[in-house]
Amino acid sequence: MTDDSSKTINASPTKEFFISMLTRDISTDRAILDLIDNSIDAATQSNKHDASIKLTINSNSLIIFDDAGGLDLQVAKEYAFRFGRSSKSPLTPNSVGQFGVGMKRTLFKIGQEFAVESRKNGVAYKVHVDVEQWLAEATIWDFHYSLLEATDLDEGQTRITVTKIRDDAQALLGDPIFQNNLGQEVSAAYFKKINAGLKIYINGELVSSDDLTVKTSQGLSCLKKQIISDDVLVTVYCGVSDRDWDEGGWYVTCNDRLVAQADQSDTTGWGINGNPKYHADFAYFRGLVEFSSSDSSKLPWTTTKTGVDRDRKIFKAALHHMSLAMKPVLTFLRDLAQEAAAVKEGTLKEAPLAASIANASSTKILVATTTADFVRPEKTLPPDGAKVAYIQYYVPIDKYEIARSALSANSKKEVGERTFDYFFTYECKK
Amino acid sequence: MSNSGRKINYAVRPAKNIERKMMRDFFARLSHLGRIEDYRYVGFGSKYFADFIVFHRFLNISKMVSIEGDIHNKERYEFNKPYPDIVMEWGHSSTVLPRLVYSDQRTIYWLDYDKLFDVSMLADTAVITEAASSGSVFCISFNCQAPDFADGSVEGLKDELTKQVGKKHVPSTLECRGWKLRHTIFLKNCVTNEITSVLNRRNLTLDPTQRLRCEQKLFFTYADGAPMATIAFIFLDQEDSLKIHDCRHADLYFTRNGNEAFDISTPNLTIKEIRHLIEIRPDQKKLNTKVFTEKDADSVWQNYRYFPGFAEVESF
Repeated sequence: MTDDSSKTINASPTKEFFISMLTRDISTDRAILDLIDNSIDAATQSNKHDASIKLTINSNSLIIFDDAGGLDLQVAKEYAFRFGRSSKSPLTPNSVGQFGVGMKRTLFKIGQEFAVESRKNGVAYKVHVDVEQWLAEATIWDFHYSLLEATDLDEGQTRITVTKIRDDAQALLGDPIFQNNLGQEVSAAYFKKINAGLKIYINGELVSSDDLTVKTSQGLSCLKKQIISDDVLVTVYCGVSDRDWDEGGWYVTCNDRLVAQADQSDTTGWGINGNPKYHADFAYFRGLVEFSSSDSSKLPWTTTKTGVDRDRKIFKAALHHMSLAMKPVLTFLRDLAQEAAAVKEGTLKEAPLAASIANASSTKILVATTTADFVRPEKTLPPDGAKVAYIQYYVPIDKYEIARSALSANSKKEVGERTFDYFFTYECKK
Repeated sequence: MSNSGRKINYAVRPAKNIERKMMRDFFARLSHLGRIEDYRYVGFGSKYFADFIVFHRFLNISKMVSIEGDIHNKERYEFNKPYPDIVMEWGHSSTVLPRLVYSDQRTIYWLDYDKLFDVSMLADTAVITEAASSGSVFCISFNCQAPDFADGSVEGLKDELTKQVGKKHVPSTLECRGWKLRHTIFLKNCVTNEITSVLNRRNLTLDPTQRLRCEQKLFFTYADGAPMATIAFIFLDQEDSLKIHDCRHADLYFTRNGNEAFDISTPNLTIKEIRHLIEIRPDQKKLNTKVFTEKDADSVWQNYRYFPGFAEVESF
């Protein structure tokens, strides 16, 4: 018989359940970005804007090495390896890591064995975990570290090595297409940090920043407005760039980390608040909204940083200002589409709006000259009575060739117009 | 907005004529919030500018903007402008409104659509709500004809409503029976909900004193050929919320802040009949029941001060 005098029921989580829940809702590429976030936070904390982060990946291992300042042993012992951020853990102002799950989630998702080595304040140490062994001990959650007498790490450097790569991650990490995509994601996610001097290498290749650009000139501007709400600075930029369906939309950063890219959904205001849904005419639109706060828990990001938490009050507040900012730009783009249609049907000879985009220069949105209101050229209206009908019909090609030859015409359009004029002249009352 | 479909001069539509004058009296009481002369009027003037004439003449509003979608006949509209100060804005309301709504200008907006209610009207509602200043009034008129739905089924009704107002405004449970009687209220509530939703977001970054709320003040139904509805709302910050009571809008018998509409009924009577009914008002005993029904008499008596007296004038 068991002793049930305490009348308690064991409801503590198993490690297996915990790890499976922790790692299930994040993709491998996003998990790797979480590791980079950690390095960036270290750089922010040590005020090192020109840190370099070197990522080496293949099907057997993943290594991330940085010179961002290192991880203090005391912090590692008390906070960094805890699952979830303790309320007592010291805040990193303007950090991109926030939930206290990023590094652990990545390590458990990708490999069965990992080692974290760092050297800070003259102390070098290594935390080594064999996941199978760790899981075998059901109730003890601790990891163990050892001090390193001899190490190749310099002061302020950290190296994380993941080995015994899990089956599902193995194929991915060795796949050149995955590596390319990862490069593109890194390039977009950290475009602001890279611009500010951060260097990220993937398998030895330096990643360039994938900058958001806008077209500006004297007659065409990029709008910028700022609000502060609940200790969060929100900066909204809106403008136009080259027409590109995939690139058009809203970009959202939280403490300089891109969390939503070219969003074209109602989350960022499309199809709500009187704004139209995203469509081809708006493929010129570029919007950037930056949320910055020394307290990263106030930012509207999801734990996976793959989108915004639209229910957060700060995001709803920003959405109102985003909506106001995008309206004049969308009006301009609607006018542009109407202008193109009028030019096509021949009721407008000039296209000042299209010319304003063609003649503007492309500039990185963060350094573009901005205005409080969107500056744009006035639209030109077609003259009165210029309403036209568009006619389209099919004829056998041999008959068309005979007619074209008889008319000495050079195009189908000309054949159509001149045959219509001929009929109208002789058969219609004017 | 687009006026190409308007065949009849609005000035001679009797219910519209009454409605316009009631709205004039309603607007006149806004002077407790601020000088009515300083308000701006934004409307769809068409070629007749009937509302512009009334509001300029009686309210002395001189900043006036007419939105016109018929961009191929600009000369004609410019020619018909009763006052040179009226600014024509060319294009559909959805493209023009965003640059006409300023938060620092008290404005009376009257989006007097002559078409069936559609989702673009909710978009225009949102555009105005997003930036309108305190003390501004938003009026919207539309054809409120209920849709015919396949087999009278709930799914058929949901499909039709989704087409008309968008999915987010259609409740998951609906009762089809009696829908035609409730359709106008449903549309009114869609407009109200859109305003509430936009204001909630807008208020998040405003100081408590600047936060806006919205009050429904008018809800008319009438039929000048098609079943129509007009709703008027006013936006109020904390300060104006205190002053609005001084406007005593409730003293006007036609104001409505709920789901019960004030129906503007216009019986088909001759000028002589209308004049006679007004003369004998309110004496039921004098009513010649061989000429008039009680309902006709009630309709005239209810709105006798606003009833139009049309007569043909040989002016050329």
